[in-house]
Amino acid sequence: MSDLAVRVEGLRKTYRSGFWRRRAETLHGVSFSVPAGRTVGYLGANGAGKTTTLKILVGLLEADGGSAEVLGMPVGDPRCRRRVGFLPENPYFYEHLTAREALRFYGGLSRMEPAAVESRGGPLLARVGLEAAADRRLGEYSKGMRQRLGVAQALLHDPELLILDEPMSGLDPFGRLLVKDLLLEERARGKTVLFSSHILGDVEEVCDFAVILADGRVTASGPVRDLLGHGASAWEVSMRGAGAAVLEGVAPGRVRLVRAEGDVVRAQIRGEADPAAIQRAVVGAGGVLLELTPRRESLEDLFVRTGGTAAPEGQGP
Amino acid sequence: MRHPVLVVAANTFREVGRDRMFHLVGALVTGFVLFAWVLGWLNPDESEQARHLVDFGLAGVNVFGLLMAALLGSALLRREMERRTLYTVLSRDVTRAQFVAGKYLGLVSVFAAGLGIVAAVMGVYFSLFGATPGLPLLAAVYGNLLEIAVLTAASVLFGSFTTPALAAIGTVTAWFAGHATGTLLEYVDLTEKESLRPVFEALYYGLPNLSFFDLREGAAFGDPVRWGDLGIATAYAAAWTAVLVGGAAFLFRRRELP
Repeated sequence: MSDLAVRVEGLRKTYRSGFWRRRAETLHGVSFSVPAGRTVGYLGANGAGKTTTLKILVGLLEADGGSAEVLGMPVGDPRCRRRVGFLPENPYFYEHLTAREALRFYGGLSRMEPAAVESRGGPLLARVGLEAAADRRLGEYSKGMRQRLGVAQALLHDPELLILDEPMSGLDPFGRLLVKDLLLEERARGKTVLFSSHILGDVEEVCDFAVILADGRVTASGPVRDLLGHGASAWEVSMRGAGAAVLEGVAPGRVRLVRAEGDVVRAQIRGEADPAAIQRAVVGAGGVLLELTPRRESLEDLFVRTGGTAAPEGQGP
Repeated sequence: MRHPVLVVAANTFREVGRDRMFHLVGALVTGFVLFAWVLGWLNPDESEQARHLVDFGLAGVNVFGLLMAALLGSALLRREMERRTLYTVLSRDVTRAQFVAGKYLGLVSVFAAGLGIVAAVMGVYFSLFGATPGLPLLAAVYGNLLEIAVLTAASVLFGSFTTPALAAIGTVTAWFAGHATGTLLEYVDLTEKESLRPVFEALYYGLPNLSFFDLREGAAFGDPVRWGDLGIATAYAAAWTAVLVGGAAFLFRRRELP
């Protein structure tokens, strides 16, 4: 197999709607790739084009320009989807079926033998916490239960590549934990996962790589660790008996007063700073340093920071 | 391991079979057949009773079949798109043409099962009164099925590019037109209005001639089955179905699924 499970090059998509066929360009030449065996988070605000990209990858939509390959085959070839598991955003199922019947149906579509569906489907339903409801009609399922079943149907045929659109959406904290565990298990088994999410903390915990999309353009992409950097992006300072101004000598123009309660002051220094110099400045002004905490940039910070600026195309992963 | 078309068809069969509307129409058909039986029973001429049941019962089944084809066929694809149930299907190794073919096949299988039940009910009735149901009745029911199959294909085609309501109206119109084209040509022959002939001939050959499948009279009078005609009718229905379902698949392939 190629080193890349997904390769997207200059993808463009325009929707036309209404009587006048008004155009809305959703993707403006999106390029990124997903290395095989990695877990990649696909991030972006509402309307950024995440779902459109994922739908193109699984053949639900056709791109207007650019190219996309999944597992070494162009996305127009349905055979590439035999080894892909897909979870759509807010999945819907045939309400007349039970969860067990639904898995038999999806297993049949994935060319699985009935015995294989039974032997894999039962444990999967138990794994996603639906064992007790396996024979209930899906019309009676809650949103969270449908989401769990969605994850189960995506995993049913043991695909090499998982493409999941907002897999944590609609789940309670237990459900989110479960999906995170499943993603980590799949990663440990060498599977490739590409998933979109709004919950950036989850992405940070699970992903090796991240691709950030804004207004149909990739604004940042790469290994999560590289994107976030290794050093501190800010310092939180808590002190008594000295004002925030004493820190100006350490980091001119980068000090912000966060809160002052009585003689206790909390301030923030943006960017790198020397902790020993901070301590000297506070003590030198007659104050007491209560707390000094380095703050690493989170994916959320990065997401907000890069939200509107397009990065040069072809940046990894 | 089954072909995806059969997997989709089996699921559609189950879906429609569990649909409340199907149960309602099924109850109406049963009521209608019973009504036909009562009408036949009221007839003092015993030899006419069976004919009434067959003639009236099969005519009712034909009308209800039209309604089912129009209502269920027209919404077959739209419902999948609105409920987004097809996302988890088409994201697998299933082409849109296979999906449309499977949905169509599943729906027609339900109608076939329904007609099978109607034929069985009539068969029981005949047996109770000592008459043999015979092959003409089965041939008439089969003809009904062929007609419903073509109408369902038309309904699925209309439903692939317009709203279910308009598609249903289109299907009913196709039913009327499909039964009228033969008569229109006969009208030209009788009145010798040759200027109308090209128009009516175009309609005759451009639309499915549904009167081709009407074998009720033969069943009512117990005429022997003409197997050659039945074979031609089957081929005719298959050809029209292929064209209509193929058209639906072609249009559906181009539909965006946002």
